[in-house]
Amino acid sequence: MSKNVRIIPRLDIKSQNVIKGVHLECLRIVGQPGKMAERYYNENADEIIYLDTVASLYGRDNLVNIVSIASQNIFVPLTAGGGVRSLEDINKLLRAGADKVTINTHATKHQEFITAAAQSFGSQCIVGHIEAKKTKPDYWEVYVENGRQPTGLDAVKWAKQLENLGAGELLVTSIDQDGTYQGFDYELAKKITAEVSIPVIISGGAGSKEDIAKVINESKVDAIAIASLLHYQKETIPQIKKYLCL
Amino acid sequence: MPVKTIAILDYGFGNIHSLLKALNFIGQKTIIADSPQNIASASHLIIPGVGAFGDAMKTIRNKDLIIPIKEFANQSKPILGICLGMQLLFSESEEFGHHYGLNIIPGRVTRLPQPSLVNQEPEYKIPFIGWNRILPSVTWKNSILRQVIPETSMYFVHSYAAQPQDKNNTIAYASYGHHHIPAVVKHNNIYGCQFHPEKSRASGLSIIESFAKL
Repeated sequence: MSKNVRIIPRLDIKSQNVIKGVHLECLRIVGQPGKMAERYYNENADEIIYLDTVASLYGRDNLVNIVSIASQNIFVPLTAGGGVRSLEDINKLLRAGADKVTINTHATKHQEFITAAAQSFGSQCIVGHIEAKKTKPDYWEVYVENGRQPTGLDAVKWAKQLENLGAGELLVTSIDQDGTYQGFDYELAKKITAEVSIPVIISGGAGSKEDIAKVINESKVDAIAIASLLHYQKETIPQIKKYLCL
Repeated sequence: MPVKTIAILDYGFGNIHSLLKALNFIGQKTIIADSPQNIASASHLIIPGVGAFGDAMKTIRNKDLIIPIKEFANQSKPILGICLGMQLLFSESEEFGHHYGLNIIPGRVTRLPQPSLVNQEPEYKIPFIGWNRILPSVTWKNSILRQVIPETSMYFVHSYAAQPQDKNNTIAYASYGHHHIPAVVKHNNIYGCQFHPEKSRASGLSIIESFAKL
């Protein structure tokens, strides 16, 4: 495989811990954000994603602190998000050492926020995060509030809209596949990457190296976000990269 | 001999914080420079930057920073431009119209070549976001790349690339499909990195470290 796909550990944060669930629910503590990020950095991760799953409950400064500590020792791109709803929120995360910020819930309510953010900080640091759930054949609905709230938006159309609004990249999480080890939502990956021309990070469902190879072969994804598979040490980043000839 | 001080140019474009953390990590004394005075007080200058070329130049001009940067270069003090900061060192750019740059290195900034299709898929996307290997165009032994092993991957984020007039200014390139894109340029004590050394693991940090020792 000659495609240069990025392998990105995804660390979902709740309070001071990295947590992981199934379908974004049944959350369990799997480790400590700083230590885990450092392990992944030493394993040659291409980027690190931090998502504060309950930012609205604990306040966003929690994530700012975590990013601030991580960025002192980790020199690959850091993406952070969760509860981002103002330019000041973005600014704080960037000042803490994040390179990109994900925006989800707030964008669905205020589309112009994506454009304002891209104009202020550059498209390259604005990642549109889509949490999608397949609700009928060939149709995925956008959910927000960490997979709890349906929005009525068509995920594929929303992806295109986020690109048009100025997002520089997309993170696409399949709620159905998240934490299941049952493989990615390949159809969703295919549909969204065919629709947009900006880079797409696919997330949710990686159960093996083969699943990762499959999503790379079957769609035009640019990066893979992985949580459970790495957190529970069923695979390591070097093993995955070796298998993919990266 | 006075202590070396690296100034990071702060003109509102680009994430100076990541860079600051990298310089802290290697233990380098660093100042944030946003005025002619604090540029002049430093021994080394790093010009970061992400965003559009024209807007960035306009801001540098409005802050009266063009002459201080050029004087810095004329005194043979080392300069490192990163990403857009590298592109600004050149004479002109075609990004969103035509814009003049700092003209410290003769050459132009042009859009990345249109990717060819392989199995109906473009070989790369524009903007290019991700890791790519850098290879020597000429020997880089006596440059800021001296600690870098050829073919090490570095982290790039860009849609445009600099094309030095003098091909010998390119000391490292990266392959985009069958195109060779300048990755590191050198003109006397002036360097430009198209990728982000501050985000390119230990090898990237070694470039900043070598720059600080110039």
